[in-house]
Amino acid sequence: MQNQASRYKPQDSIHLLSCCKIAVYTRYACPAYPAENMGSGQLVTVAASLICLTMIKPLFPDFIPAKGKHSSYSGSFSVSRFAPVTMNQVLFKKQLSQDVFLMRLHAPLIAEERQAGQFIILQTDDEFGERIPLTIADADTTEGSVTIIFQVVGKTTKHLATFEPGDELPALVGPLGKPTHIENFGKVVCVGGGIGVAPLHPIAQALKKAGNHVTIITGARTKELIILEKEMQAIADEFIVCTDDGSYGRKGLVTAPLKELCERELKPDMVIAIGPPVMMKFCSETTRPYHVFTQVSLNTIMVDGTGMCGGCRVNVGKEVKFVCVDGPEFDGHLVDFDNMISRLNAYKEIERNHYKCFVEKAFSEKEQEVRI
Amino acid sequence: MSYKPANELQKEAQCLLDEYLSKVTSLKVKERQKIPAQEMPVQDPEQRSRNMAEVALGYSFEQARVEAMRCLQCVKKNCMEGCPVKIDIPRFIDHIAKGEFEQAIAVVKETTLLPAVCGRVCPQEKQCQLHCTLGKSLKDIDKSVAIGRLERFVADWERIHNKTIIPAVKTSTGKKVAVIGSGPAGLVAAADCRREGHHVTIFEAFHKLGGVLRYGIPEFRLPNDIIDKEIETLKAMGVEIRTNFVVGRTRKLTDLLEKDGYDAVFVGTGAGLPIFMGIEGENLVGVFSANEYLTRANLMKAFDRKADTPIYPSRNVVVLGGGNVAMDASRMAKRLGAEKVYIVYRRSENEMPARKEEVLHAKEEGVEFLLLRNAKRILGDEQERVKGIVCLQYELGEPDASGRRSPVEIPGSEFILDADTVIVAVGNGSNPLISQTTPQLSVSKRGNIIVDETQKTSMNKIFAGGDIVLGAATVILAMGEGRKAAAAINKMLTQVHG
Repeated sequence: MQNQASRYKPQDSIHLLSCCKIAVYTRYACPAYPAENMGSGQLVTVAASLICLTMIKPLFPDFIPAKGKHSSYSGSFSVSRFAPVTMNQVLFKKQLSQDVFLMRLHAPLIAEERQAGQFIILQTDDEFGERIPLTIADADTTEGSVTIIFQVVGKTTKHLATFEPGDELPALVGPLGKPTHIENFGKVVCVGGGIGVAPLHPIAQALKKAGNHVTIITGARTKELIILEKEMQAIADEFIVCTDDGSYGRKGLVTAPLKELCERELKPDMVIAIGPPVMMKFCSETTRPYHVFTQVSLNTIMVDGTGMCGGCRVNVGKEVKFVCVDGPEFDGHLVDFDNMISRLNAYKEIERNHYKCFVEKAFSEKEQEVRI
Repeated sequence: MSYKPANELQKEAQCLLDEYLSKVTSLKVKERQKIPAQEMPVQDPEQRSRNMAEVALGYSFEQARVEAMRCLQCVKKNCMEGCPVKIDIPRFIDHIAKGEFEQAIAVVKETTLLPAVCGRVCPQEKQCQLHCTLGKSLKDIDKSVAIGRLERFVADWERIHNKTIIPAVKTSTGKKVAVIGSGPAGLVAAADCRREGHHVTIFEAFHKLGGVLRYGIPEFRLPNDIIDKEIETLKAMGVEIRTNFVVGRTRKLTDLLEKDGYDAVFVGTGAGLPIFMGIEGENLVGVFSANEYLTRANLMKAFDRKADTPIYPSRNVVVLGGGNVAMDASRMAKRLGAEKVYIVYRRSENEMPARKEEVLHAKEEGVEFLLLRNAKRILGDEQERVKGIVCLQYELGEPDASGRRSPVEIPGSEFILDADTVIVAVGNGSNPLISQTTPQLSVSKRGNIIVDETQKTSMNKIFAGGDIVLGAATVILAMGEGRKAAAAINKMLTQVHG
């Protein structure tokens, strides 16, 4: 297929650069050379541009140098990845808050196909790793990348957070789930809680593009955990920030401004709420008396993401639905949130242990390194 | 049946072999009938219910030859009638009797591609062995020639002795074939199309190949090594493989033809949509589809301490259903540490669709069978976790449409089973992903893709086969469909070519 990356190995040419302490990423360095089309003949040019472009590095303040920890080509050079971009490679990583990370991953096919509301499933180890679903926060078809934003909550996300630009994810599949239905509804309120703002971003973007009047309410426990504020503000016709502790914006829960909006003379035509299950539940309860259609995006436990396991099933009205193929978006007034929350806790104890073991192991390895 | 260890069985077979070896070509029917049927050596039930290693160990060299000598070499080959892929059974068995294993496997491979798999998972007692003249003459189907075990024996012999021949591939035709799904149907279709010199790409949604052979059938029944070996062969033939690729989502089916330059597509996406019973309490924590339970255990390796994928810790497990999947799930639960495992099935043992051997093995491993019972309601505690299941007793009434006597509820026969886990194994529907994203494709009411006698779908250049067409069926039938579709694809591509 057209996205096969060319296959020259950095070892073949690393001597060219061995004296230069450069860790620049081709994508940033030479956008004129789409990595997929780069053959070994162009190598010298690329190497040269790399050297030149280190000078421009300050232009990319978000840039994080590759460490090559998971890279199969890691050597003693600081240059571990100037090679063509391979599938599932981490292109960019940024820590948004203590536990929240943003990553752009090289996945041109997914970037091309994905639509607002869809998700991916990834693994940090394809032998013993688990498959975790994460919503796509953004995509860039020119770069061939998808953006994910995740919070470290368990072993796999903890492991994922250790991946650096240049590292490859062993498995990445998508886009999965049905895309959000986008049309001009009129007045739309988008409510994002915590990390839920990430999947909300492309949906709000698409709704705005379709001509809706978009009000965005974004909330988090504390100021530090508010993400994508600038991006969301840029989309919104009306923008409200809330924090539980009052450290930023309004003090209180997102349901308070939502209720006010529902009480206005021109109440919203639709509400989209994405965030922790409890938040989505209470947003749905808030809008119920006002009969405002409220859509929620569910992130249940799933294994395959293609309808095969049924682990993601939820009660929606009188029906049982699979989040992976029938969703992830449903009418919040029909979702049985209490059952969903119980089901989300099915493996809590095991997951906690896995996480603990992983952190302890990483800690003891670090300690050993220090001793050496 | 008392448990006999493998070495004992081998010793017995050695004595028999010594006795018959000299007259292998001149055995009379009466003599053949007298040779005792060879028992499959298995792991000690006590031990195996706590490990993942394969249960059936396979015939020894001696046992295989003795068993092969039992074959009457009928002129009218009734057994072949029962074989969906028409293996020349008497001929390959005759080679085994003579110790010519290389020739034997060659005969098997004339018509089938995955004998190591089929020898293990085919319901032989309902296929070839049902028609065996020896079994009929001895008035006991269990005394039929053990055709499946012999098939497995020669396939294993070939693999263990590294005699696998990579099938010859014709010179490149420049045509491209996409195979969607790497289960039994897809693997066979890929091999057959590749042989004709077409470029073949297998698209698999999971990160590992094999489809149901990998995620569904457990290691203790079908070791992963065997699947890996078959895939190695395909790779050696030059088949391109793309994992983590969901056709319908990552790429539309029609895009493969229109944008990516494929000349034909084979859809073998299987019956991956679990059916639930629709009873109260089915969404409680601790209720799983057999697909989910087995996928966690097999594909995601949840039985291994190193695995990140969690599996529900169970003490008392109730498995609903009577097919092979129910047997696999119940035996897996036992291996994962459950103390009590019950199979709840609404008909009697005679009607059970599971292979006889699996039922026997499950019983030996301590799985309890509650027949003529059915689940009515699942009970949960205040945390919405399963705490029990209400069942009803049934009796057999008149035969229904399937020819099996239909179970009738006995009023007032409710009883409660203590359980913390319920695994639903009552069947699978067809996976909706392809049909959902390809509205032009004709599907039946049940979601199965409609095909003609050459496996061609309602759309040009698109063929389908296996469970996505048949509904949940067997590995061998899926393979047969893959083969038929590949033949039609090859024919179509040569016509276009010429």
